[in-house]
Amino acid sequence: MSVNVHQCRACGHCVYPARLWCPVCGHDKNQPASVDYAELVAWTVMPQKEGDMAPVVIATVRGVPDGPVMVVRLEEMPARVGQRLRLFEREMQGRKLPWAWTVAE
Amino acid sequence: MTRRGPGIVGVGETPALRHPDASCTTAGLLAQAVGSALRSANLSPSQVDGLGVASFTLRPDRAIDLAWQLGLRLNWCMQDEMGGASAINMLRHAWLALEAGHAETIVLVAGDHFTGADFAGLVRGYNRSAQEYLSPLGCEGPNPLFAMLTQRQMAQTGLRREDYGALCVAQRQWASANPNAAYRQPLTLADYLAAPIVAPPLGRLDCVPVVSGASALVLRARPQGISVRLIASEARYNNDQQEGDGLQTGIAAFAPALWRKAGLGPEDMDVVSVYDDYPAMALAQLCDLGFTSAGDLPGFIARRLTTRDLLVNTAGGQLSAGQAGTAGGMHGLVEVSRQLLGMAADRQLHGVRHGVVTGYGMVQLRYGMCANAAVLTQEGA
Ligand SMILES: [Zn+2]
Repeated sequence: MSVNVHQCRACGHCVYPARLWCPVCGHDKNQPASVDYAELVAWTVMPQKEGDMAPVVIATVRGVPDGPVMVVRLEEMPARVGQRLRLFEREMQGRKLPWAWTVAE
Repeated sequence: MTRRGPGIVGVGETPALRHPDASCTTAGLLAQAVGSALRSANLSPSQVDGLGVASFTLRPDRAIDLAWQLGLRLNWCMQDEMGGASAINMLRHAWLALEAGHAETIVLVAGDHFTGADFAGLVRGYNRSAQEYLSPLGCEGPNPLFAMLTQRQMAQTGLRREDYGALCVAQRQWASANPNAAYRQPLTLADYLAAPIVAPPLGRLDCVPVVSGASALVLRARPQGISVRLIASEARYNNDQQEGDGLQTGIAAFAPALWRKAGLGPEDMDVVSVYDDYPAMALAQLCDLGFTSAGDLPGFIARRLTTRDLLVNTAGGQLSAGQAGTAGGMHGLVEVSRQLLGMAADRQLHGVRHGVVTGYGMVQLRYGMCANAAVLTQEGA
């Protein structure tokens, strides 16, 4: 249960989604790295469209401990900023995209 | 006496159309804005030898195709697709071209004509990251991204929805005197708070109305009479690699240099335009320019914006006048130039000599990655 991010082979900096060159050191090779947990930075809810089974909750999260900041979809409504989240991937429109659910505290 | 440099000599703008008729086209709107800018400067199309164009919807045509349609013969031509940052980006390039003798008379124009489908397609596929990572996730368009940014700004600064509302109400008051604005009827704080929430904490009135329209500016290498001079400009593109918090724009990085080069400070500005795609971003830019600090934003709005002590977004900004795609950045540049040229008719401000304009935009993943600004001053006859 994790999200695959891209780690620079030269300096270890993680980004998501992938870039062509590392924004820190400029190296052009990266390797997959997985991030399991994240912390909630902000969230919002999209206007409900026809066919939506549940509200579409979008969040900005920061990978823990030093993963990148990502925009993800949440399984449920979160409770508070700073909350711990479990990351996972779900295939949507042919692409594995980052989702998260809240972790009981 | 030193030889005077280039100057802005004319401005033009179409009405912001919410429901344009079937005959409306992007090229037609751009032509209308160029025509009105040339008339304001008493120039004819045959005198134009430079053209800069910003538009998302002129495609598949480009700047040179518009030149052909307008019958312009050019020495200088550029195209820019950096949205809210296009106007000042083109201004900076045009200024250098005029100083270098590459052209005598340059027209800069920005605008778009949108059908509902055009706009939906533009936001869904705005760039590769929107197309591949945000839209398929259900995160469509800029509203959810700026909702999250606004949520963080509220937590950081203590701003409440009422404070953002006060800014929107102030801008609507300015729009009432702009015959081209999409929304001119008075707005109350109660109206603002009663508007439907579109992506919490953003309500409908925090989001710019999408319109069709165009704005244009004429510059000359050797202007006669009153003109507007660019005394300083700066830009930052991809300043923080999208790894910052987005609450601070690239303007913060260049503001000290901008004011130093201008030989003026925020306190000297008589008229201000900040790019207002959302109230949170208008406020972030006013902070970054040094008009206020993040810790004092609610007080700043009450003391200086709602009272018109500081003249900000005097044509209504995009929040009331409307956002015509890439014309968004040009709208503010045209308004400040118009005020400094004394061409603002019924809404002419008196005693305005210096102004500052910002551009902001091109959202990549979380927030805009382009920021630029221009300090302008009036030069007498
Ligand atoms: Zn690296």
